[in-house]
Amino acid sequence: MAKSKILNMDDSLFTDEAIEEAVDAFSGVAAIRVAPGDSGRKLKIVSRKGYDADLVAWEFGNYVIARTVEKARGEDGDAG
Amino acid sequence: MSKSKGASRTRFFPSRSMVLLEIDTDIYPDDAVMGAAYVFIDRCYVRLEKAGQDRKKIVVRLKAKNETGRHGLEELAGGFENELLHQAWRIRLEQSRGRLREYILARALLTAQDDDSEEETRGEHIGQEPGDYLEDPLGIAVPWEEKFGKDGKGG
Amino acid sequence: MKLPARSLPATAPYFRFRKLEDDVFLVTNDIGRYAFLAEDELQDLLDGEIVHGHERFAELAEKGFVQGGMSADEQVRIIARRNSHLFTGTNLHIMIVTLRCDHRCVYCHASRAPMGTRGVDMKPETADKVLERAFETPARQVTIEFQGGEPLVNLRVIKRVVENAWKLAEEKDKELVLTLVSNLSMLDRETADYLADNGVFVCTSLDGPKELHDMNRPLPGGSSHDSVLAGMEVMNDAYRKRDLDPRMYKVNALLTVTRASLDRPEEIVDEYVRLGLNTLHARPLNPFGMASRAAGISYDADEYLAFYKRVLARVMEHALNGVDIQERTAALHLTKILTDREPNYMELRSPCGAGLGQLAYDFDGSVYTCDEGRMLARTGDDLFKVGHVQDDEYRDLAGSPVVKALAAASCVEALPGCADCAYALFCGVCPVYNYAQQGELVARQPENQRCKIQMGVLDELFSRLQNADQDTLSIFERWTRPLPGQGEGGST
Repeated sequence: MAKSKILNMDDSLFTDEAIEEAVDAFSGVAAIRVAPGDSGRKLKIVSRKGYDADLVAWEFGNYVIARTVEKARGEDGDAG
Repeated sequence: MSKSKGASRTRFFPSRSMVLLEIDTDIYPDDAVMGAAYVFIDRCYVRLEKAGQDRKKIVVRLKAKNETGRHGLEELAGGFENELLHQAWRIRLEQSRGRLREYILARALLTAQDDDSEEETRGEHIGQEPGDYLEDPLGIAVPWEEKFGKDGKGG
Repeated sequence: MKLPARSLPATAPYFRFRKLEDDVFLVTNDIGRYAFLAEDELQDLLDGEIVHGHERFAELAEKGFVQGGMSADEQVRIIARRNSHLFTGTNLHIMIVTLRCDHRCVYCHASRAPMGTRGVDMKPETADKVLERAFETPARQVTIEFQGGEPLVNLRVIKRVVENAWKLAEEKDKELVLTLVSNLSMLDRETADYLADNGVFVCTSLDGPKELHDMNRPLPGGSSHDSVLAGMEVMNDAYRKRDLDPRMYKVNALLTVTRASLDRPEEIVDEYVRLGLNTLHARPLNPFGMASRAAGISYDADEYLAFYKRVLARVMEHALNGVDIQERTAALHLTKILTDREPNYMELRSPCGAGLGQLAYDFDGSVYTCDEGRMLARTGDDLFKVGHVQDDEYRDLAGSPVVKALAAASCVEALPGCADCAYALFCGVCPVYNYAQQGELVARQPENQRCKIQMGVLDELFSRLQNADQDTLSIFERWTRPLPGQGEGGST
């Protein structure tokens, strides 16, 4: 089980706002450090309370995708 | 362990319940990949990263939420590629037909927000009796001179 | 057939086409006109060679496929007529007056509650609020449809709504339509008299002959078939005694199709004819509510279509022999194919009726975009809830972001798989169905069962139109005449 995991979030795919929301939402299960990366942001996810950092990173990724798309579609769905 | 299929290259990692697709963004734009990823987050984990020269490829990793074998991963990858096609087509349609859709929606939503009197007018002239509205009952299309005389004071 | 390498000539307006069989292509256009073309004729159309002197010029010009026939003004008028629903506002208001029901139907769409359940009847004060909201609509016609559960379980609230609705209709100068969707097991003579006196239309369910009907619709301690027949008789008798127009005031029925129905289409139609029903509305199972969990009763689109074709054939056989009967799904599609009138059937308009054509009010005052959205909420997903009658006015409900999302997702003119479909103008989508079946509001049509069924039904209708004699055409034209209170602007 991994304790920490590095994630690259490309700025042409994900919005800062979505990443910030995700960092906030996951603060209970992991300490997340955000640093500038080659083409966006580099995140270091250190899990808390015995959570698997690998799994947290996957969940985190899904969350960012969801928020990026929902923001782009104006929260109110824009046809799904 | 890999196959090349049209606009993407696919590699399977059954031991990690994961499949990796490399998508050519010249064929599937970023928004199509994001749209497909969004549809898939309820059935698997999705990770997206740009790659390749000029970052023209997107590497998509799909990881099953429960352990799965090669067959399950093939279904996941195939489903994702179908969804990509659907999303790309939606984007293209939005470009060619988006304005028409917006007009139709604006009309329907405006009606829903209208009060009775406005609805009656529209209903009579366009909804129920659509022949009437081109007849110009208020004389809007009649030239000023014709309607009021040359001095513009009526006549 | 070769497709032209150059761009289309200016004389060829936009059209859609579909190959129906070898050397038969159906072409349709944005004013809802259609024509059957041989392959070489389609090629001529694409090449801009259908001009004066061409064998098909007169017909195709008159139908707006090529220039030189219908004027632009006339085409604009037709488009306005065909889109009249965009100008009418929310007219259908579905009230779930209770969740309780005495039946235990194997497919219960409405996700019923047992008769002994407490707290699932609509309270009078909630009903008053529903009515207040319904009459805030800009629509000139207001249809109140009582549904359940079994709505007659809460007759007290129905009566209160009926009385107040007529008063409000007069005060606000609205046309009122009242419809009750009931299994009729609790309908006594007194209630029937009350409903007839107040001009309430009644719609029930009839799944076929006794054995099949009772298998689909178990009624503990009795036979549902016996009770529905008795109920129809009592209700029709009450209508007759008041000299109400029998074309309008007659119980009609919905046919829900289960696996057990599939090999008995002729018997089912014959049962409708035996009982003197004038409309048969065949409906496939939907993926909402309890139907989605029902094991052993479902089927795929191909199986349903095989059944539907046999139903239609049998209905036509009777109709050609002079029996006054129509199949409602066909009638709704044919109205869109053969006339410029928009029947405003919620599932077959663009955008769909969710919020903009209908609202569904649950027993507790929660408001949903449509009954399908409410049924989905019964399984724990309230994505399609738009508000509550206590807190939200009609404008808030119809202007909800959920309504906007559903409208955008059901505009067939701009949907993948629909925008370029030859049947676009005669069809409609249901985003709630798509969400329930495919997890997204916008369907992936090639994998969508509902799309497959609609395409199959329309293929069948166009194939019949292509080969129709005068008698068949007369029947089809008769089916397109409006039946007030029986689905026109309604959900049944």
